[in-house]
Amino acid sequence: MNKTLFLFLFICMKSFSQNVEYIERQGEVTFFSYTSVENIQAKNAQTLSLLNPNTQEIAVQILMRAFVFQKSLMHEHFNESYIESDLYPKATFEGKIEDFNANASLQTKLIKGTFTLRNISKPVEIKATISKTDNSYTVKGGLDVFIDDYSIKVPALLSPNISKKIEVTFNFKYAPYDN
Amino acid sequence: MVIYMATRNLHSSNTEKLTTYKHMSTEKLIKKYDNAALDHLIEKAIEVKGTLKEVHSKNNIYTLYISDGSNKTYILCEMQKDQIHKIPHLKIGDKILVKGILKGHLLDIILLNCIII
Repeated sequence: MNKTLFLFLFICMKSFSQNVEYIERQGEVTFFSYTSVENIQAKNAQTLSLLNPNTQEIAVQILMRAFVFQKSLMHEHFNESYIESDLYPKATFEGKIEDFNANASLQTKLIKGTFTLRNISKPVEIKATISKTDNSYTVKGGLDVFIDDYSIKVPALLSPNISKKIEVTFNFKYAPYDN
Repeated sequence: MVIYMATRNLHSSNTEKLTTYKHMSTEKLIKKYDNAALDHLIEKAIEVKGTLKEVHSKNNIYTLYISDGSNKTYILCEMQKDQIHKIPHLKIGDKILVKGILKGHLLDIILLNCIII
């Protein structure tokens, strides 16, 4: 093998290894609304996320209709009245993990990015715990979402039942993505 | 009101009791997804036939990955709780028919409350 060909292959392999992405097709996102009148919880176990350890970028897509509630009436209010899922079917997050070490077995880091809900984008900072096993990363964390920030209108009658601050937690386990 | 509830399928958590809105192959459903023609099926009970590629479980939530054999887009079927006892009888590569509520798509097409027919 001549030197030029070897150098070309080396550059190709190096470039490929730097762009290995990881995917989570079934990430868990849970939200809680606590009030003195009622506690509401919903879970979405079909969240999509991509992680690129080399560029430190992370992207998330949440299908709003895939949240599961204990009561079907809550599901209806959430999709039809508050989120308007027909108009805004997905929430998204795009961000970057600050000072991420792709080889550390356990680290707590800040993820800075943009969260978009109902077509309204806000900058957010999320504290996350990231663990690495042989061929996988797990990212866990949470953030508070304020309904006024995303123009979520709650009828006055139901206002005591819905918290202004929604606590969101997530748990993503990534595997290498052969795209 | 009764008509509204029946067409939206929002008020029953038991898929078995829902009338099937549409029956189609995995290939046909993925083609609809590629053409962004899924909207009229959202929140409807649909039956899908395809090949079982993977079974995933997390915190007692079971999801079947169904494929048309050639595409990297899957149909992800989150199973209804009363279906879990049927899962050990499934084999990867089996042709299966499932019924679930179509919720939309991300990278894959997502059905919840799925039952095996």
